[in-house]
Amino acid sequence: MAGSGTWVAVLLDGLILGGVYALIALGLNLQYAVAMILNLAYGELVMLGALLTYTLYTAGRLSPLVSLLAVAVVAGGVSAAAYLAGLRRVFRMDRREAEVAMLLLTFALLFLLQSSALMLWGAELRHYTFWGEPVFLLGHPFSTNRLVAAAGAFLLSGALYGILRWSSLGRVLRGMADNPRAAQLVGVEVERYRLVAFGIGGMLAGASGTLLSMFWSFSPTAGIDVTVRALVVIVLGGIGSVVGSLTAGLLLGVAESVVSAVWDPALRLTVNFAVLTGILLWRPRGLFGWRT
Amino acid sequence: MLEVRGVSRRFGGLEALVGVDLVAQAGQVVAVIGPNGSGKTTLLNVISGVLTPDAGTVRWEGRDITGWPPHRVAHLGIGRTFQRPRIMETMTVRENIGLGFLFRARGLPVPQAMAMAQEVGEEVGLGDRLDVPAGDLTYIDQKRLELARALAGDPRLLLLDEWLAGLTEGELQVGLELLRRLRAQGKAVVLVEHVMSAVRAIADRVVVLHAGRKILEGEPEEVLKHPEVVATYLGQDTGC
Amino acid sequence: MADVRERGESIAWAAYFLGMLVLLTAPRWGSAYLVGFCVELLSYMALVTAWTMFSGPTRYFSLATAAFFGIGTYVTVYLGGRIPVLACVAVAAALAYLVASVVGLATLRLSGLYFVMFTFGLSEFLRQFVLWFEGRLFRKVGRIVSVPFSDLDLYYALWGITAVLLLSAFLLRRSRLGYALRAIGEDELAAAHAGVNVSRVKIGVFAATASAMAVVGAILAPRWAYVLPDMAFDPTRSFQVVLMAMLGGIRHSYGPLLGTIPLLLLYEWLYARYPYPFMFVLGLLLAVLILYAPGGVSGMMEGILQRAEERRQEAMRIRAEELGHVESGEG
Repeated sequence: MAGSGTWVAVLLDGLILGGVYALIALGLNLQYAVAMILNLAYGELVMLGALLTYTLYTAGRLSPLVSLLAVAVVAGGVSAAAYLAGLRRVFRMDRREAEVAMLLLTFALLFLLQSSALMLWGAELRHYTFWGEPVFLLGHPFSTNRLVAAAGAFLLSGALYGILRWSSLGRVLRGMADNPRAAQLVGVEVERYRLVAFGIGGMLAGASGTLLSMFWSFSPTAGIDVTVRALVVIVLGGIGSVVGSLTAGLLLGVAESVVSAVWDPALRLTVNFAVLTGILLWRPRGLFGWRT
Repeated sequence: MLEVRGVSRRFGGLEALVGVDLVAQAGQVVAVIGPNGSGKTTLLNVISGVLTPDAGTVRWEGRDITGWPPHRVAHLGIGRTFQRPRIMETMTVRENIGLGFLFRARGLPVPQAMAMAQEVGEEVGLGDRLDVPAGDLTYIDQKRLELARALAGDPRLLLLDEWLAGLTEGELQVGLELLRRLRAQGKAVVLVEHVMSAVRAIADRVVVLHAGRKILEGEPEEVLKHPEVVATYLGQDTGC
Repeated sequence: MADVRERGESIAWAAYFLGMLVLLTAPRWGSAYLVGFCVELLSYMALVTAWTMFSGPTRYFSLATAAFFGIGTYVTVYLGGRIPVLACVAVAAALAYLVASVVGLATLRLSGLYFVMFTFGLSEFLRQFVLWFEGRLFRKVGRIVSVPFSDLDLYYALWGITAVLLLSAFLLRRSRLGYALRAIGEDELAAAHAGVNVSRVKIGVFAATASAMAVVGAILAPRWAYVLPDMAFDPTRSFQVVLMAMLGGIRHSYGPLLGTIPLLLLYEWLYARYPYPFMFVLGLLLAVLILYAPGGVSGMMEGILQRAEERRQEAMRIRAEELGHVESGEG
């Protein structure tokens, strides 16, 4: 490999990618920590966001930055609908049945969403160019869209953190994540806030799909890949920890970037899996989390 | 003989056990009492292998079993019941008890295990309900079932977690009688209890825990009259 | 009540064994199309049985069926030209056992959620890994499969593994290992205290069933003219296996197999012409099943039979009471 200059490029690229990974993971983390639903269909929502943005851009000439909000709302809506239509019943079942039911329902949701997307968009890999001109960072060229996506990811993550930390909604959500039974006893309408958390998680999924679509290609079948990455991030960073997701996302992005540069871009997911196996064997509670 | 020495265990910031000692001889009933949260169940968890202590040792029949997983502890002849009866709800009473015979150190083949389960089931008074799914039993019967399963493993030490709780006076006497029989058979019993009348009736020694520490140990009569114990337990005696 | 269930079980298993005998003879009298259907049926019977042996009693739902099946497929594709297919089968079984053991070691000592997460990602990971592997080492994406293995040999080999699996499942129910698995599924802590080596049982049985799935994949590989990682590691296969099992009902040992034929018929009817709607229907079916009939078909049948039995006994009781009144001179 060439001198330290290239390593800086690799590192920066990893941080940029990692920022987006972190945002993606935040939505899944929220859905799991607060709404207590491990959403195996999460990646499909991200892809839905990407595909919607694509259509709005290519057919409607709408800039992704403009359609971001609309796409997020749609994704959030789909999540809320899924929750209301069936996922919420899980909480009335007894514990053992509930765990199985939750996973199988989200697995079913995965197929429902993916097949719908396939029917609407077909299976080809898609991408579009938006703000592709290079910008120079520390002497290395990066396409503007990547930087904008990363910036967007950091902004949205920061906004989420702020909401969770300082707003009354955030306090309720955090309380529910910490101790669901206590929250119920204190009179919180747990049912309603679970819906809210699940919906917000969905919105984050849609938004990250938009950001992702600006610099990556995507297709209806690429959802599982995204979900697996998000899972690795939350296991690594700890379930329920925003800071954990951010750190883990960045770490993972850098790790992938390094492997991609040193070995082969096609080994990215292998890195994910190696990291996941390592964490589970060594320290399952992750770096920051408290729930297993 | 069970020898617990200097066992400590913490969870995050909470010190659940601090330097606890306990000895139980064959043919002896040792009661462990203390207010809620004093570490009684944690102590049992450390002995039976659910938890590894941060410090201290657990020795059984001369062997150091600290940190051994539950199934290995069970194979050495230590049986246990839990605060909330842990039974297999979709299996029949017979099958539940049979598990103890199937998976003890020298496990029996299935037909024999189920036959022996019948005998034990009849002994504890569940003989007429052997083919009922365990989930359909009353709370009391589930407790009996749990003990039967533990006994099927042919234990020399029994760890009972509030086994006498929630019983009527009549049921309590039957339970105490069963424990007396087990003691007469030479078994050691560590009994975590809240029911003071039972402790008075059956314990050979009493150990008092408070906030994870052993604060007192001795004969039931002295311990239960001790001012510190009375103070700690004010309003907590669930003798009914 | 219990004998109603036992009778149902015995009838079901007898039917399965009879069915297997019929399937054994199928190549003699069946059309090519029918035999092809029987091959699909046998392979899914095998996969569903293997899946249920572990995931049924323990409730650790594995989503990795496609991963192990794909391992088997690729072992035959790579080695099938050089060594006999049955040797490939052995290699596939060993490799899958190894992979499953690592997965088990990493996840089965933690909560079931990690197991699901990991098995969920496993097929996708293997798909991408093999894609990379093929591209890097062989500069290929897909492969033409040319493995010498006659259709008839393939059929009998497949029948063989399916028969072994069915027999194992049948014997497992009342075996010590079967009780261990059920105990683990009910209450792991209690099972451990009864003397069950929970980790070893979980990892061992999971790895064994993974081997079986790889064997199926290894045997079926010669049927394909051309194979891509996408096809070998198709997540829809994992989904179909789970759906078949849930449709049949996993509360009883004979349940899951009931789901195979209906779903295969659905597949035949829809997939060729409408692959995406087929996927949609699968998703919808699973969701409806979980929400409204979690016991599956066998669960519903059992419920109906039990209620009928209860009504019968109630009627008998009432008659006995009436007779008692008459005899004592009342009424």
